[in-house]
Amino acid sequence: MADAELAVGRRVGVRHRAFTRERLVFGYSLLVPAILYMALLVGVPFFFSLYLALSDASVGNQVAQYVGLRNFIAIFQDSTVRLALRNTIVFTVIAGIFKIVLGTLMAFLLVQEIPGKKFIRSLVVLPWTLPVAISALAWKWMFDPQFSAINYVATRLHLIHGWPNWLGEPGLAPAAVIAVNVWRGFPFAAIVLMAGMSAVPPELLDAAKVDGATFFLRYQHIVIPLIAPILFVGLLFDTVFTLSDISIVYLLTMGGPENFTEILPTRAFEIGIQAGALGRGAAIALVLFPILVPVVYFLLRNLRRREAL
Amino acid sequence: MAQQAKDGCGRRLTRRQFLTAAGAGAAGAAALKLAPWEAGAAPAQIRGTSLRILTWSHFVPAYDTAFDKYAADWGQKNGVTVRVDHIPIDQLPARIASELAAGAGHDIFQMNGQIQTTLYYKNMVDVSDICDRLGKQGGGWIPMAKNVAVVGGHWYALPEFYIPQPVLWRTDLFKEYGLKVPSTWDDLRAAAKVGKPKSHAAGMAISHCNDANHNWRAVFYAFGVKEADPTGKEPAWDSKELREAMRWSKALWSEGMTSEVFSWDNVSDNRYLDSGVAIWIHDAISAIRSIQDSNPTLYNNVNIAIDGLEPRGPAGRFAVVDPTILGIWKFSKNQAAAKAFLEEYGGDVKFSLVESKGYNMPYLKKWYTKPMPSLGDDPKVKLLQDWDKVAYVFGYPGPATAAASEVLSTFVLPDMLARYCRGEDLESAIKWGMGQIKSIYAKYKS
Repeated sequence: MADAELAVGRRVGVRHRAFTRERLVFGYSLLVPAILYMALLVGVPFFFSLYLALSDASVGNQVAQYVGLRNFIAIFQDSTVRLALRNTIVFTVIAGIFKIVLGTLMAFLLVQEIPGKKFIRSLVVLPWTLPVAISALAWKWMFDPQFSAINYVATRLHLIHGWPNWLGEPGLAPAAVIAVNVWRGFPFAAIVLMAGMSAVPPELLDAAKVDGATFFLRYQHIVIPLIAPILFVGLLFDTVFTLSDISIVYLLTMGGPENFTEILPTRAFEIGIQAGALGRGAAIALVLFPILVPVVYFLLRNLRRREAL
Repeated sequence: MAQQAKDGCGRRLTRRQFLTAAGAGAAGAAALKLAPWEAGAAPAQIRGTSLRILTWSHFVPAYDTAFDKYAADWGQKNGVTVRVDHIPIDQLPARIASELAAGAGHDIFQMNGQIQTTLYYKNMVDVSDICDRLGKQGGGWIPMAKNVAVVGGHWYALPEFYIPQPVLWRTDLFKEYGLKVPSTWDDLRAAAKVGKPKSHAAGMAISHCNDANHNWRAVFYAFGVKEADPTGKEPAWDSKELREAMRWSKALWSEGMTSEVFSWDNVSDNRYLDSGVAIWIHDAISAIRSIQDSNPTLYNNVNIAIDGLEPRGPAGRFAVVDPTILGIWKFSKNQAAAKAFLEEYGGDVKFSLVESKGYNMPYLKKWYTKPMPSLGDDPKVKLLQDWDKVAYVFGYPGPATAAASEVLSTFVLPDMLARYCRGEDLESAIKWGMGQIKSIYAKYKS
């Protein structure tokens, strides 16, 4: 009897393991397209960049030789690259702060029940959806040193004195670039936060109100903890996009004046493509990698901890 | 019975076979000296093929239309399907790099402004035969042509045309302010100094744009500054002349220009002149071609170039031009058609001059015989007929090397000048600039 039960148990176990193995194979095979996509479009370019960065590759030389870390040493000896690195980090942090603040304010407005809510939401998203070339060129006209619409209106309203050269002064040009980046990016933050806020159970907020919690207390202790996962993912996306964005600087200032708006992507383009030094250009582009990895790790680890709670 | 001879293998040939072989040999020998169109027909091997050409979007839009038609007509005449692609000038370096990396793309490609022949020549077809023939037919090449197309004694590209950037100055304002017709950079500085307080400042970009690179090189060369030694391998910027040029340039900016120039792009000076503000700028003639019809009064009050062509400095007159060249990729599957097109187009300078309304200046000396097509009968641009006497390219007195091209593409000169203009100490600004330049040149030596 016991032997029969054992035999039945073994058969069930074998069928169960086979079933589990089949499910695992099926499950992993569904992941294959995504893995292939990541490998081909992310992995291959990344490792190719690494190969270029460790070689003396140039646009005209089909055969590249290994040079070790020579390119990295050379780029860090370049004061313009060091300035570009500083600008990249500063732009990203300042723009990120503004996008979070403005995005949050906008999200609060967008979750309100007001007439024309859908129309207002579509208008708010416009800066983010417009092609960057169009929006950057429009801003370039608004910042034009001779025909600036901002200067024209602001001087007549006595908001500013003189005629600021927004793209030509070392103090103003970075602010102009950050402003355009924020203008383009905060709708994305607003939409992400709005989606998160919509998912917060209203009973929790009502209960907090009854308990006497102020708006800021409710936001700090209820809303933020609940929308934290979405907030972190949005922050991650925005950080990566801003760090790697070449378009706004390329179209507005080309890194000027005097490299005060030079960022790593534009410097990598100047050296790698326009000057043809692929190895050094790739090395400049890869400087962002050791900066991004801990940022991403920190954000994702925080996210996992919150989900575990 | 047919007469017979023996061929090299001992086989017997009939007279018909012998005459056929001899005739083919003679035709082949003639073809070595004659280009296909000179023989009256395209070589058989290019008929039925296709040819792709990459070039820029010309600042004179009508030239693009004319060039496309020219290429199509040539193709039709020679049985070749020709396609021409135009892209913005700033995108050319990236497109050229990607085509070589892919080993595929166009057959003929243009380099414009940023000349990188020394970087790409190993992947470009040697066109010395074409350039030697054109040079003989055209009275020789102006000296600058070799700086942009020759590497190691071989021509790797056809010099297509160059774009002059003369002084464009307001004759009415000069007359109103009692200023003499300018001939030197000092004359222009004096004019700017008079015009600025009257809201008619002068303008030359000191920013990250092509115009800034070329305009200030014209000033610096006129003060005797040299970018490199004649071989192009050693930088030679750091000199007494550089310091004089920097001091003079800062004085020109502070006395006669506004801080707007620190944010200018390549068309800002055009707008500055076309809006009626600028007393003078230093730019290509497209700046006033755009107002020829829309503002004829202003157009009539702007003169192109000055007595002596380019303003004189202590070391002479130097006009730094924007060169363009056409190269053929070695990976091209239709090099024969590409060479045939280049030789015909390269010799047809009249087409280039007329259709560009004098914008495209030739490299062949014969075409500077007056009156030049398009330039000779237009009093506005007639001074450009002698531009070959003052035309220079970046990298002077050396060739336009990869190192010189990187100094150009990273805007070292405008940045160095901008730092000094904004108040940085002269030696500190020069030290920064020389640091950048020396490290660039060092990388190309290793």
